[in-house]
Parts: sequence; C-alpha cells; structure tokens
Amino acid sequence: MIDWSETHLSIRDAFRRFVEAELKPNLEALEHGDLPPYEILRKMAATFGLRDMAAMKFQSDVAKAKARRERGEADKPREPRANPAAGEELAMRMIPIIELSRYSPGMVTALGVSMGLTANAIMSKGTIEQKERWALDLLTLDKIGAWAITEPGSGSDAFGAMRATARRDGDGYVLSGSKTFITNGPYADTIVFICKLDEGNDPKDRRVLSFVLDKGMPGLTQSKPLRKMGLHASPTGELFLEDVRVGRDRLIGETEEVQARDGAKDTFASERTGVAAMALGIVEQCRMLCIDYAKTRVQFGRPIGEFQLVQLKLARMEVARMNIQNLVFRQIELAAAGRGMTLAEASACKLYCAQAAMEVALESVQLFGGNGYMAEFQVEQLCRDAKVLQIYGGTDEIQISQIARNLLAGLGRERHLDEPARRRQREVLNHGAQRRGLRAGGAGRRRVGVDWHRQPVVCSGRYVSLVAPATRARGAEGVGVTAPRELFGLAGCQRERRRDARTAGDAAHRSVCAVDGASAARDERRRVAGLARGDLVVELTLLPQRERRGGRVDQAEDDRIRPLSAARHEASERSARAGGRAPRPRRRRAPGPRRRRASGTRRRRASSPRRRRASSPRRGRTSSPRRLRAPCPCRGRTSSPGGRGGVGVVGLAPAGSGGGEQQ
Amino acid sequence: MKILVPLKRVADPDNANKIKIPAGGATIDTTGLEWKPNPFDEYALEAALRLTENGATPKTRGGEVIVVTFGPKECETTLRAALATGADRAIRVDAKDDELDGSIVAKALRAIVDKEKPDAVVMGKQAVDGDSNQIGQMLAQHLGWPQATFAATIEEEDGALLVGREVDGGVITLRVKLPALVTVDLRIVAPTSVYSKQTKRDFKYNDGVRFAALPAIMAAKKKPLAELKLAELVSDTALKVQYSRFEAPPSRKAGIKVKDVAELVTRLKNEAKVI
Ligand SMILES: Cc1cc2nc3c(=O)[nH]c(=O)nc-3n(C[C@H](O)[C@H](O)[C@H](O)COP(=O)(O)OP(=O)(O)OC[C@H]3O[C@@H](n4cnc5c(N)ncnc54)[C@H](O)[C@@H]3O)c2cc1C
Ligand SMILES: Cc1cc2nc3c(=O)[nH]c(=O)nc-3n(C[C@H](O)[C@H](O)[C@H](O)COP(=O)(O)OP(=O)(O)OC[C@H]3O[C@@H](n4cnc5c(N)ncnc54)[C@H](O)[C@@H]3O)c2cc1C
Repeated sequence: MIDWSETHLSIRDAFRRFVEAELKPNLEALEHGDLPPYEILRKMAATFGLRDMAAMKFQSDVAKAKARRERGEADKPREPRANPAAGEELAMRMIPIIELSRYSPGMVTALGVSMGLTANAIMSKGTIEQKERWALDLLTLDKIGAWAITEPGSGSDAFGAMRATARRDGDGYVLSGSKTFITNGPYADTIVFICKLDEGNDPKDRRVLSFVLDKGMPGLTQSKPLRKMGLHASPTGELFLEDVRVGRDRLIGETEEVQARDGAKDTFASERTGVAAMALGIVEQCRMLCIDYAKTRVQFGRPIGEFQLVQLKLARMEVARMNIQNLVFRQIELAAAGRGMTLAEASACKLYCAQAAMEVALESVQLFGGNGYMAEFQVEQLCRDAKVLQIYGGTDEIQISQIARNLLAGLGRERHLDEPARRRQREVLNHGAQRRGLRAGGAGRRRVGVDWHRQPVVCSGRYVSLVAPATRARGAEGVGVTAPRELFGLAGCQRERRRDARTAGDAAHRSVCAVDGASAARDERRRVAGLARGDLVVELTLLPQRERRGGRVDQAEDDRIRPLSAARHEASERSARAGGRAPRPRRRRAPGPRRRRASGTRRRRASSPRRRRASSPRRGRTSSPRRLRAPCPCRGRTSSPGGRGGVGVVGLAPAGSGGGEQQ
Repeated sequence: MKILVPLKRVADPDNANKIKIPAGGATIDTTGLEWKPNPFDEYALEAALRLTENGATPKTRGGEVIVVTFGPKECETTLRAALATGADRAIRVDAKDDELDGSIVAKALRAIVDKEKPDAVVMGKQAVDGDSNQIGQMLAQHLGWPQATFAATIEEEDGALLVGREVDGGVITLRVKLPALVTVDLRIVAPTSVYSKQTKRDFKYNDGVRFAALPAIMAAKKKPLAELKLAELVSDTALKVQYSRFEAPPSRKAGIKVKDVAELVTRLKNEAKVI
C-alpha cells in the first residue's frame, strides 16, 4: 500500500465533514464541560451505517457459530490466508480513528474501549449466549462497555500484583476488589472484570478469570470521572466491588479453563496497533496547524517559517507523519495478507508512534509560542492528549523491555497476533527464530526456551509436514504451517533439539528444509515430492516424554491433530514401544547450515529411495539412525505430509507460567 | 421522477488564499489546491435525492438521479462521492477546464438532456469559483423549458413542481410544469424544504446535505459511470468567453485613525469615495 485509495479518501472526507459538523462545535463541552462523548459517537455510528454493519456482522457470525454447534463441530480456526477484504475492513476502522483523533483522541479511546476491547473480550472467549446477551449491544454502541484490569497496586505488572478475587460460592462466585483508571468506568453499562480465582492458594498460582458485570449490580460502585491531565473526552474512573455475587453465566466462556491471560494479552496487542492510527491523527493535525501558523505568523519582519529552527520542527513533523502512516499502511497490508503484527512488532510500533506523537505535539506548542500554551489553540489540547499514548496499553518502558526481550531471545519475527495463525506458525517460526538465537550464542538459546515454556510442546512420536509459504498449509491439520520463506534464509536442512524444565525429559528435534535453491538435485526432489519452489518441509521429531510436568495436554489441540493421523500414530507408538527405549539425541549440538550436506548425504544412503528424494538433506539428518527407533510406518510416502507425517501428537499444554505482565 | 444534476468541482473556498496568480495574470495556478464539490451543486443533489424518495425510507429509491460533470479524470472523485450519497448513475464529459465556458457547458448539457430525457434538471444557482450564475438560465432557454431559479423550497405535484423563491420581503411561489429546470439556493437543504409526492408533509429531514454511509461509499465503486467526449455533444467548441487577466484582491492596507466626524466624512467622500 503506497497511499490511500480513492475510496479511502471518500471515506476520510465523509468523516472529516462529520467531525467538523458534529464534534468541533461540541469540543469545548467535551474538553472543559461534563459532556460524555457517547451521543456523538452513537450519531456517528448511525450516520455512517456502522451500527447496522456491526449488527449484521454479529448476526451472521452468531448464526454460523450456532450452526457449527448444532453440527457438533468445534470452532474452526481461521487459516492464515490472504484476504483483501480484511485489509479494507481494517482501513475502514482506521480512517475514523485518524479523523476523530485530529480533534479528540479521547473520543477514540472511549469508543475503542467500548466497541473494541470490551466487546472483543466477550466475542473472543464468550459463549454464544454471552455474546447475544452483552456483545451485540456493545458493538452497536447501544450500551457502553468498560474493560477493567488495572488496580491501584497493579498496572504494568497487571497479573502479578492483581488483588481482585473471585471466590467460588455454590454454583457461582463472589467477586471483590477495586479497579482504577478504567475508561468509561463512570458510565459503563457492561463491565468486563478481570480477577483471580482464590482457591486459598498462593496469589501467584491463581487462575485469572473474566466476568461480565452490569451497571447497578449490588455491591458494584462506579466512581465519578477522575480529573486528569488530558483526554477529557474519555471519562476515566474507578470501580469498587464488595462481595458482588455472580452466577456462572457471567464467567466469560462459562468455564474456568478459559485462558483469560491469553485473552488479555491479545487485547493489549490490538490496543497497541490502534495507537498508530490515533498518533497519525494527532500528528497530521499538528502538522497542518503548524504549517499554517509558520506561514502566517510574522516575527522579525518575516513569517517564522523562514527561520531554520522552525523549519527543523516542521521537517521532523513530516518525518514522523510519514513513518506513522507507513506503519498504519503496514498493518492494513498485513491484515490483507491474513496476518497480524507480531507482539514485538506491535510493541515497537506502539512505542514509536506514541513517542512521535508526543514529540510532534510538544513541538507544535513550541512553534505556536505563547499561543501554543493557550487553550484557545488546539495544539495545547493535543499535546496533553498525546501523553497518554505513552502510558496506557503498556507504558513505553514496558514496550521497550518487550522489544528487547524478543531481540535477545532471537525471536525477532515470531508470534503472530491472531491466535490460529500464531498456533499454526509457531512450529516453523520458532524454529527459524531459534536458529538465529543459536547463532547469537548461548543466551539466545535459553531465551527461546523461555518462550517455549509458555506453550510447551509435550508430545511423542514423529511428525512431518509440508508447508507452502503464502499459500494454504498443505501439512497436517493443526501443525501445518505457512511461513515466510525468508525466515529460513538458506535452503537446506537444520536440526534443533530442545529440552526445558517444563517438559523435563522431553526433547524435540525439528528440521526444516526449504525446498528452495536452483540446483538440479533440488528441482528433482521438488518434482518427486510434488512441491513448488519455495515450499518448506517441516519435520518435527518429538521424542517420547518420560515425565511431563502437570501431565496436561490441551485436549482441543490434541484432537485437532489427532484425527488425521491417529491410526498411524498409534502404530508408530506401538512400534516405538516395541523398539524399547526412547531415542535420545545428543544434547549440545547447535546445528549449522554447513553441516547439512554431509549429514544429508549420509542419510540418503540409509533411507528408502522415495523418501530420500522427497526430503532434503535436512530431513535426512533428522532421521538419523539414533532417532529412527520410533519409525513411522508411513514414512515412505512423500507427496502428502498428512499421509506420511501425521504420526505425531503435538499436544500443547496450557500456558500457565510466567509472562503475565501487561506487555 | 428522473432528475439530472450537473456537478462542478471547485477549488476549496476555505483555502482560497492558496490560489496563486503567476506574473502577467494570464492564468491561475491551480497546483496544490484542494477540490471540493461546488456547495450549491451539493444542495441540488440533496434536493434531487429528496424528490426521488420517501424521506422516511430513503434506502428505497423512488426515481432516478443522474449526476454529470465536465472535466478531467480526477473529477470522477466528485461523481463517486455523489454516487455514494445516493445518486444512481454518473456521466463525466471529458474536457479540460480551459476548453469550457458557460455557453459550451449549457449546450453540452442540452445534448445530454436530449439523450437522457429527464423530467427535471436540478442544479446549483451558481458555482462559487467563477460566480457566473448563468448556466441554468441558458440551459432552460436552449431546452425551451420553464425555469425556477434560486429555489428555497420544492414540492412535487402531479406533473409539476411548486417552487418557492425567497425575495426581499417575502416568498414567490411558482408552479412549473414538468419537464422543468430548477436552480437552488442554500435554503433548499433545510429540514422541510423539499417534499416528493411520497414523503409525508410532516416529515422533517436532517438539516443540510446527507452523509454517505460506509457501505454506500464502497458500493459507489460499482455504480455506472459513463464517459462522453465533449465533441460528441457540441459541434462548435470555440470559446465565447475568454479570460483576459486575473488579479488577486489587493491586500488590505493598514487602517487609519480619524480625529473627528468631519475628517471621517471628508475621507469617506474623497478617499474611499463611498458617499
Ligand atoms: C487515560 C487512561 C485510561 C486507562 N484506561 C484503562 C482501562 O480502560 N482499563 C484498564 O484496565 N486500565 C486502564 N488504564 C491503566 C493503564 O493501562 C495503566 O495506567 C498502565 O498500564 C500503567 O500502569 P500504572 O499506571 O499502574 O503504572 P506503573 O505500572 O505503576 O508504572 C509506573 C512507572 O514505572 C515504569 N515501570 C513499571 N514496570 C516497569 C518495568 N518492569 N521496567 C521498567 N519500567 C517499569 C512504568 O513504565 C512507569 O513509567 C488507563 C490509564 C489511563 C491513563
Ligand atoms: C503563561 C504566559 C505568561 C506570559 N506572561 C507575559 C507577561 O507577563 N508579560 C509579557 O509581556 N508577556 C508575557 N507572555 C508572553 C511571552 O513572553 C511570549 O509568549 C514569548 O515571548 C513568545 O512570543 P510569542 O508568543 O509571540 O511567540 P512568537 O514570537 O510568535 O514565536 C513563535 C515561534 O517562532 C519561533 N521564533 C520566533 N522568532 C524566531 C527566530 N528569529 N528564529 C527562530 N525561531 C523563531 C519561536 O521560538 C516560537 O517557536 C506570557 C506568555 C505566556 C504563555
């Protein structure tokens, strides 16, 4: 995306007209009076058909979910595939944010928290009944929502220091605790309340649950708006819960197994990407006002725009605008490609945009001189409002540590935000990233391990999958992965082994072979395997675990993979058991590309002719004799990954450890 | 009812100070200007939409509105915006701005009316760039149609339009038989200014021109937009009006203070020449 399309510009013009006609005249009351933003937002939603669109989309999504439920199917995870409509949809969400932010970033916050965060929390993890009961009204803005995680004693360390609790009480729960800095808190009709399940255990080990509350429930108090530095158009308040009794029907997902931490993390991520559009609105407006002022304000007999120090300010504003706009475009492009930003990228994006907006707004005040300090001139307000972008949705410092952590772990590109895609890509992405980590040295390696702690692979057997970049995964359902080819850089073979505390005793070998490169041998392998240039073969050899801590396997994940391969898997398990002991890889081998060829050659001799051709040297390496103790009965097949490889069970244990900070 | 609405894009009047006149004054430099639809044309479109719908159910169209503009490809933005707000189809007559004058546009519009046979032409009373205020009148003359200019209200009747024109001290109401030409003034977008036959007389519109809903903006891409050549519509393309020179308004001089009324009167008489 190089620039906005003609349609985007029409949409922008329409919103711009609305903002000028409806928001601007009320700005004074929103900023310095007590006018809540909701009526203007509702009018906007009605005028542009957003309300109808949201309702229609909701109805069709819910109808589909119901039909699936009737057929007894689980929710189908989205395939990460190119979808230009998703890009357009995102653009249409961004444009109003940009236009509103030019005058009132607070309106965007109020809107985003209600229609975005709160509704999404229910839409992504709630039951169909909960969606119908609460989410629809939020999506149409008929009701106002608040999303409450922050507490007086827990902000950046949102999960770690959380005090709010739920105690089991018959079939329901009793909630208590207090929340602060809650956007829409004073007016919210519907509140998503995040707390910890108190089972008498150590607060650190407690499960995080989310509940939906309604205004006026006994024991729930919503404070008046807090006075704050800026963002006056967005009412922010406190919530106090004193023994609020709720039924299970208010527990999101109606089960304690729902991963509220994951939900909250996805929320942080989407919050972060939204900041780019807000920053762009602020910067565009400041820049426009400053250019005008620089041309018309005369000092020392000249327009101040002729002074180089003023020119420097303008130039830096333009640089910021270009960068932020490009980040916005990137998000739209990613959405159109069926992807999202990685958590680290979203953090970097938020950090830059928030700081750039603050700098531009502050310099605008400066450029306006005394006028800039006066409320009559808009830059004064935008400057106060911009500051919040560096605080909410994770402070700058938290973003920085998130980015650095990823860099040091060599995880530069993994962890896509959309969960199904992330899950599918985890295998391959982690591999590529890990390789980088290994190159970086031992520290990198350990950090990778930490990431695996979150979603440890506990499994046994062997699994092979073919992956086609930028096309649908042809691999085994659930673990077939679409991966950006560049991630693997070199064609060839790579093997990894990992071992970590959570999966003590487990070890996983993974091999990735890019079916790439121009050599005749590779062409031939591709032809035989029915692969296209650029496809990747992923081979994961997961060695039988001996002790799996907690012993839990995420059943859904397990089930998704199992049907494809259950029979073969069981066969292979049997033969593995018959073979006696589990294969044990050597521990300390950081594989390097250079070693591939030799091992591949070695392997080639040992394997059957068909497989040998289909697989790259890398694969061959994985299948080195010491690991062939658990042979797969279908390994000879080369054309279909599901057919040959689906011999493993990859179970993902619930993410329970660490990483709970609001980052 | 089928209505033709001519639209013109004009340099954003709010940014008029950006207009530059190169030395010599033979032309206007339009680079860097933002373009907007002529406000009176937007009012005309709003009036035409109101005449072709029941105000209570605006999504169901009760007639057809065709928008037409003259200009280069970029002008299609103006047409798309009109399609997004509700016009049914659009025509762009390909022409450069300096190939056009009021007379040529009026003749070309006549050719389009002959082809499309609308029941009415509803247009802005004038464009805010040249402020010529003449095309409506010329077109009515070419067509031999009744015309009602500067309309503040329009009410549809069987085979006729009842048009209110505000004049000093009152309102003149004209009944023009269809087909007819109406040029509109700004009051036409007030809540009770325009009534089609279907719209109940107690219905009140929102003040001003309507916004395009997002789905409509997306759908506008698919609405028909035809392109015609100017030469297909008028045989004589020689300009009748030629601009000889442009001049920016003189920048205002600093004011002066006067001692007393006597000096004021003298100066008003001799320097300002207003009394
Ligand atoms: C206008 C506004 C609206 C908000 N809306 C909501 C809402 O709707 N819902 C909600 O739940 N919350 C909301 N918040 C809360 C917001 O998310 C928190 O303010 C934010 O996460 C920071 O937490 P804190 O205020 O407790 O600061 P703290 O966590 O106390 O941080 C204080 C300072 O210490 C730094 N710091 C903390 N930890 C580290 C570390 N590990 N390394 C380096 N530096 C560190 C921080 O960066 C910061 O500079 C809102 C806040 C504001 C201002
Ligand atoms: C709260 C407040 C209280 C005040 N109290 C008083 C008071 O009591 N008495 C009083 O007399 N005044 C007072 N002032 C006015 C104050 O001194 C002026 O605002 C200040 O001198 C800047 O002038 P200005 O606002 O006209 O900005 P401008 O001079 O218009 O400056 C606009 C911008 O252009 C820049 N600029 C101007 N010239 C140049 C140049 N040659 N090269 C590079 N950049 C340039 C400036 O740095 C600034 O960024 C007050 C102002 C404020 C905000």
